[in-house]
Amino acid sequence: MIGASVGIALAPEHGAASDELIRNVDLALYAAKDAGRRAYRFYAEDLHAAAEERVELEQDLREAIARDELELYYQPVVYAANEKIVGFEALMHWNHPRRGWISPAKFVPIAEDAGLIDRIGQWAPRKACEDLARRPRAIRCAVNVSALQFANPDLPTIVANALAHSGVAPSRLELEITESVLLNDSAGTEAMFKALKRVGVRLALDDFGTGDSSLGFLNKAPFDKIKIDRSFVQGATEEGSRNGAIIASITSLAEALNMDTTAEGVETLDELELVRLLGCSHVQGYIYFKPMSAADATAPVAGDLVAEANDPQSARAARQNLLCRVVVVHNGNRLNATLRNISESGAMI
Amino acid sequence: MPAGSTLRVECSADKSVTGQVRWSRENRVGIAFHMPLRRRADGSFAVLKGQPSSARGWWACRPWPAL
Repeated sequence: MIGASVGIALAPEHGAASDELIRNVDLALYAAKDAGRRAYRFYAEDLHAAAEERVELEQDLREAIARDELELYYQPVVYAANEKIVGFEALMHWNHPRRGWISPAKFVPIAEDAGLIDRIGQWAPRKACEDLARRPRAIRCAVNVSALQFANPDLPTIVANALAHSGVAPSRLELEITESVLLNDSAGTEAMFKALKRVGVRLALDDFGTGDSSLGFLNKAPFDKIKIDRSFVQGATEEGSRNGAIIASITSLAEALNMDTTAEGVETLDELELVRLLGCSHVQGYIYFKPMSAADATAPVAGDLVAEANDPQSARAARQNLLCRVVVVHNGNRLNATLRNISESGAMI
Repeated sequence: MPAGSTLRVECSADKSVTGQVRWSRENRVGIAFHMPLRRRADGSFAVLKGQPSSARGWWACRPWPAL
C-alpha cells in the first residue's frame, strides 16, 4: 500500500508566479506531513511561520545530536499479575534550551525529513543497551523503531552492535514496531523480521489497531507482544464504551498466538482494574510511573521490583478489598455473589 | 449484565444499595452506586441520606479478610 501527503496551493490566490506557487505548495505539503501524513493541506499565510520554526528546529536538532543533548527517558512496564516491574520503554527526550521539552512526535519527523534519523536510530538502541546493562538481568527494555529505521537494511547490524557493545543478552531488548511498517508487505519486510529474530531480540507490535493493520500480518510477523494503544484504554470504563470489547478481543487473539500484551496509557484505577480483568499481561502508564530519567529509573528496580498503583487523577475513590457475601438483584433475578471491593462510589462484585 | 442496567446489592435483609452496571466480564461486574456511601472509621460503609429508604442504615460489610 502506498500513502501520499498532498499540499495544495491555488493560483492566483496563493501566488501568481510559478516559483511562489511552488514555494507555497511546498509549505502546504510540509503541513500535511506534520498532520500525520496521508493527509492534504491547503496553503495558508501562517504556514510561513511554521516553516521557519521547522527550519530552526532542524538546525537545533543537528546541534543537539552533535552535542549529545538527546536523552532516553524510561517508563516502567509492569507485569499485571504480580505488579512487578519487568522492563522499561525507552522514550527519546529532547530538552530544548529555549523551547523546553519537545515531543518525539514533533522532532522525529523532522529528523526523518532532514536525514538525521539514521544517527538517532544508531544512538537510541546503543544508549538503551548501555543503560540496560546496569539494571537487573530480569529487566528488559523496549526501543521504538520508526518505519524509516525499519527500512534500513543495516538495522540488524546496528542492533547486534549495540548488544555486543553493552554485553546485554538479546532477549532483554525489545524493538517496538508500528503497524505502518507492515503496510509494505514485501519480501524485504519478511527478511528484516527474520534477520532481527536471528539477532535474538524480541519484537513488539506498537499502536495495534490504530492504523491499517491486517490480522494476516500477525500470522506472518514473529511478534512476541502486542501493545494496545492508549486510545483504546482511555475511556474504556466510560458508560457505553466499546473499547473494553476491543481490548478483550486483542488479548484473546494475543493469547491464542502466544503473545504478551501491554495496555498503554493506563491512568486510573478503573482502567487498571479493567485491563487486568480483560487479560492484559502487562500494564504501562501514569497509574504506576511517568517516564523518568535513566538515573531515576535505577531506584524502582533496585528493590523487590513491585510497583504500586498511584491514582491521583482518578475520579474514583480508593477501593477497599474485602470478601463479603451479598445477594445481587438484577431484572428480578436474585443471585448469590461476593463483594470483592468497595469504595464510596462503587464496587466490584 | 449489560452496562447501564440497574441492580441492587443486598448485604442483609434490611441493608441494600442500588447502582448501575459499568462493565461486566465473565463472572465479575463493576458498579457505580446511585448515591455515594460514606466510609466509617471502623472500615464499614454508611449509606448517605437520600438513598432509597430500603437502603438506609449502616452497611455492615466489614473487611473479611483483606485480599
